[in-house]
Amino acid sequence: MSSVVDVHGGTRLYRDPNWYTPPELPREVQAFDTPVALLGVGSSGKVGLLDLELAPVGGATRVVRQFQQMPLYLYHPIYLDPGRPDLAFIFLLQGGGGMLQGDRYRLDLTCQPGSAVHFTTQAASKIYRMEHNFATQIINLSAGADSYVEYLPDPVIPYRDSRFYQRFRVSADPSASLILGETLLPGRVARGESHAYTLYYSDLEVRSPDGSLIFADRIVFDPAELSPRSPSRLGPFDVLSTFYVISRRRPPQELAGALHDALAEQVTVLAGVSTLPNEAGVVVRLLGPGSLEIARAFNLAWNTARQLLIGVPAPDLRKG
Amino acid sequence: MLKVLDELDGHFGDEDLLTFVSSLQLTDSFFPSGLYTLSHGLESLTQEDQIGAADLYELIADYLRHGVGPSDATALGCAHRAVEQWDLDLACRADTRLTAVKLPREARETSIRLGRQLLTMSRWLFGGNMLEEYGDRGRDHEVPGNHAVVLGLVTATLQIPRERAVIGELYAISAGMVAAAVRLAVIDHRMAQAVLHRLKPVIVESAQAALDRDVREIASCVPRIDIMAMRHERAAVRLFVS
Repeated sequence: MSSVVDVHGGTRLYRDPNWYTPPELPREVQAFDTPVALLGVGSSGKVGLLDLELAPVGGATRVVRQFQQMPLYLYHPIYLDPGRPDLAFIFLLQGGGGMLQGDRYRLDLTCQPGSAVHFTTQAASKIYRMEHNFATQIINLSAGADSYVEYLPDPVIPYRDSRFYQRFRVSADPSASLILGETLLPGRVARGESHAYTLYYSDLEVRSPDGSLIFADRIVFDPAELSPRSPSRLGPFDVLSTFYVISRRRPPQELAGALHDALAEQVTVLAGVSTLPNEAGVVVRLLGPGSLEIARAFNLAWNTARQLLIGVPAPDLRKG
Repeated sequence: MLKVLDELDGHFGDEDLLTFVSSLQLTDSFFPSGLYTLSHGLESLTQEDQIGAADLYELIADYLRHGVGPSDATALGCAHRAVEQWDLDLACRADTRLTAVKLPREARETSIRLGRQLLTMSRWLFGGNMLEEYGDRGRDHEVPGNHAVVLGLVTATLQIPRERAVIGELYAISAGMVAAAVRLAVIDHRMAQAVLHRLKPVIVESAQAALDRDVREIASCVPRIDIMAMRHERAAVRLFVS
């Protein structure tokens, strides 16, 4: 697949630091805005870009425009859902295996009206140990009219002393259906790490195409200041996962009831299900002792929501 | 409309003391704010045996720092500034964002119901252009009317300084949670006061952190409390409305 050069006025735009630098850095992140030795911010291999546009073409959803810059890249979409052979599965790949200090990633994922897409990763996103600065990731996801979009990446693993800021902005047409999910692991468990990172800041905003805010969710943990394993935040649990279903195809109460019932028997996981602000859909929060328990509950939630929204169970992605 | 303050102004010179009495009135459990019917997830935590007397201080301190401080208290601060700056849109933006960050339905709906009650009561009791106009916007469904935002407008109308207004709200929430813990038999009355006393520095620190923040900083990060609030929505036995 070739890179299309002349989008948004050419590659010059992609080289502009304003393209990949998050605007309005939160004060918690600004505190770490120090210069990076050797490979500084903006240098080669530090700025990962992906600008994708998808649209239904000839009975299936295809990539109709693509710009990519290492370390972010992707292969051809694959079509592995027997129940929805038109649904494009996009594996977002990352060279180098993880994010380093000074890394700046930006992903623009535009799903045209009528698209059906599943975005995921091939492995957990590792955030490596840092001495200077931080790593940031901007995700702009847009779901056009009547599109069906799933964004379910593997968990994030923030290593000891890492600092990560993610700015996730979603534009959702009122007739679109989206399933979004995010899981935070406590670090490299095998090495005894349990929330030993310095800062994990994940900021999600979901808006209507007219810009009005539907809901926002922000997870900010700064274990160097205060342990997130405090009674109001993680309590005795180590893994946090949140799952959002944004859709008007089903009444929110019906979606919430089905998700609640599906999760009722997951006794090792503390699950909460509620309806989102502005009648937008449903949110599921999960706290669990480990990644396996959370993955099981997460897949149950995905499967349940999918059956209600498109009448098709979740396929096996054959990961890990 | 009662013009109490106008009448009193002629008799008492010390405005600071008058505003102090006003903040006592608003924070008092006798004031019909409805805040004392909320447990903020404490009822579910108790029902599911996930909290003991020893954890209560940490739980509330954590909730002030990461839950109501960055969300309700911050929105209150914005609404208070909106009156000072004659910029009611600032209060509207804070109000809309506060609803958008309250993910558990019960917490969101309770906040709006109490806010609308407070607005109706305060328009009648205190009056003032800002409260009148905000009431009209609420009636026209332009704004949700969250409790913290309305309280910001009310306290600013009564000229209660912003810092005291935010501290008052955080104190009322803390006292409400401690009182809920007593009713739920988590602690006794004596210990309840000890917890409240210990929370004072956290109340002040969380209020100061919330005072001058922007609307876009309104957020809440208390996943375990959120989950307990969501579970409360489906609880069979309920003493509290949240």
